[in-house]
Amino acid sequence: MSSRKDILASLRAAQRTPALLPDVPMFDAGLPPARDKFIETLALMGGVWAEMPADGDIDTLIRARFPDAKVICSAVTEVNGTRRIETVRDPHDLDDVDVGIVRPLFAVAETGRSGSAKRNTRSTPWATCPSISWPCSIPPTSSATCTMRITGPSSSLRTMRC
Amino acid sequence: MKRVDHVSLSREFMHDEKHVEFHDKRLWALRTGRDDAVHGIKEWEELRSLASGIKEHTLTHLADYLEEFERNATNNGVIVHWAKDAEEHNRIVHKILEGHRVTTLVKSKSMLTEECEMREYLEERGITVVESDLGERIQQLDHERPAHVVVPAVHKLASDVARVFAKTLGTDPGNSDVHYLAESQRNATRPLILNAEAGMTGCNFAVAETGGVTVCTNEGNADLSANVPPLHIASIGIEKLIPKVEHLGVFIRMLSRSALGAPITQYTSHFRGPRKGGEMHFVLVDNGRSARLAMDDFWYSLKCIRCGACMNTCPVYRRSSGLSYGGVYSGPIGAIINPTFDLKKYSALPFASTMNGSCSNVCPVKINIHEQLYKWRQIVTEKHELPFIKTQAMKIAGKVLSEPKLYRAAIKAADTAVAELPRAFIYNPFNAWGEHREVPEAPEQTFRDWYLDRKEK
Repeated sequence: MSSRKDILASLRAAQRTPALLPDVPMFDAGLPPARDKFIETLALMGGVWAEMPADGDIDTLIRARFPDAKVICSAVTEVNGTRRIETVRDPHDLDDVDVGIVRPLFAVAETGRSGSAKRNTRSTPWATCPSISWPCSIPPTSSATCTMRITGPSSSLRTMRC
Repeated sequence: MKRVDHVSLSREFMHDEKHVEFHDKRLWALRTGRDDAVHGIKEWEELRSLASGIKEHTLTHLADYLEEFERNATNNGVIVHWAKDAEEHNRIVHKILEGHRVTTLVKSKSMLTEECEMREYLEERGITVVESDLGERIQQLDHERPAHVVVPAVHKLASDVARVFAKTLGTDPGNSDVHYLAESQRNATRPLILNAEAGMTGCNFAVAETGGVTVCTNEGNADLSANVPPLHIASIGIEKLIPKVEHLGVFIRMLSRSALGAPITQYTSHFRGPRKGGEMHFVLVDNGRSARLAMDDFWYSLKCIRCGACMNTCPVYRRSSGLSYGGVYSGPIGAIINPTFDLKKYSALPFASTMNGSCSNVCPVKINIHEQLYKWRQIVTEKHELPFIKTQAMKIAGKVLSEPKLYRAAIKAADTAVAELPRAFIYNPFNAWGEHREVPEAPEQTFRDWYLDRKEK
């Protein structure tokens, strides 16, 4: 533990004049309509907004959008896909996934991003494994050990986009 | 340690005009993209003040925040290590890997591990290190250090990448299509990620309140590195601390806008604890940072969030490329950070600037970069680290500029020389100002002569 002690002692010995911690305002006055802004920024980041189909059949919508996809892995109850996340025991098993369906906890209009989280165990590098991640909008849950904020497709993904 | 000769190294890069033109345009496009993104945020200047204030507060209470971070991370199940210097960092990482019989480590981009020369250290000990960031992987395969903190291979044309990949990944050397090259790298790296026994990330922000770290990438490679293998190590420079989650938003809003003109990085990932059956280690690294905190004129550079905006805006960097700085950090921020590691080696870097102050103006955390460059120049001069020719040139300039009569005579002589002497004499190898550019035509009269004439009339 001597390095710990040394580092902390050196930092304290530097004796910089303490600076105050500023308050961070919300900057939430006069914001544009959140949904419109989200769609606009999502497009800027390479994402595509899809409206909920009238009959509520998201499976068919996804199939139509990605006809070449072989494995569609879903982590949400509203979409069956071809593989359930509950059956995945190890992150390596996600290697062949073409489309992943995740549940965002929230979405940020300004940056066009959605946030998803894993609690602890089985869920994985989820949205980064498949070529396509499809955040599926559902009400929020609470604390998580690992969260990801995802915007558009990653720059090294294959050709398909959502 | 041999002194980095920035001028000679720049000359090597400038030898090929195609590279210089592409580099200049690409980085200027990032700068203009940054301007567009910034103009869309009306509270931008307020955010800069907040970001600077939060960082200054944290740095002036850093020991306390590190203890809080360690406490919370430990409670989350993370094993926290402390490294005084690069050597200790590398030793700690190696020990963790050795303990898990790791033969392949997959990692995302981290300037800190570059600073520690960790890859070389581990590879000497039989561990294969795989960079998963596309730009960083290109640089690794080409045995070059990153040329930019955000876009490590920005100095390369697609044809250069095709050449590197053809040699190392077996791709078609005649195919410079960017999509083909990116896809090839992805396909070649994917199995390495799947087979790695350990993953490593850097850290953009470490939140004391939660004991978690935030990593920002555009390729999702940090998430793959951290989540696919059961063992995750994050290397954290101690200056990365911020107090609370509420402060994270300020920096996240600024980082990618400053770097690339994008509202946010494609992936902003927050790691707080190991998954079930996995292990997570945080290595807190000093490596000269506490010493820098004690430097009255230079501690502000610890506020840096590594966005690269100062590099993109710098006319010297855009035309000389990151490799010409001869160190891990390049551009204006490298010119003020590198001398804190080794003044003699990096004594030329503070002079690689036009002192236009643009670096300070675009800095999201308000680091007074150009003022620090000036301070370093003073120190380098005082410590007699200037090359002989520059010392003599400065002496002569000092003499001429301090005596108006001498100055006026020198200007007239120079004007006459430019107007009358043959080209071969002016554009001689000793006239650096005549390289890569035309010397401006001499005016018919000096401003002073014009002014005096006008006064008489």
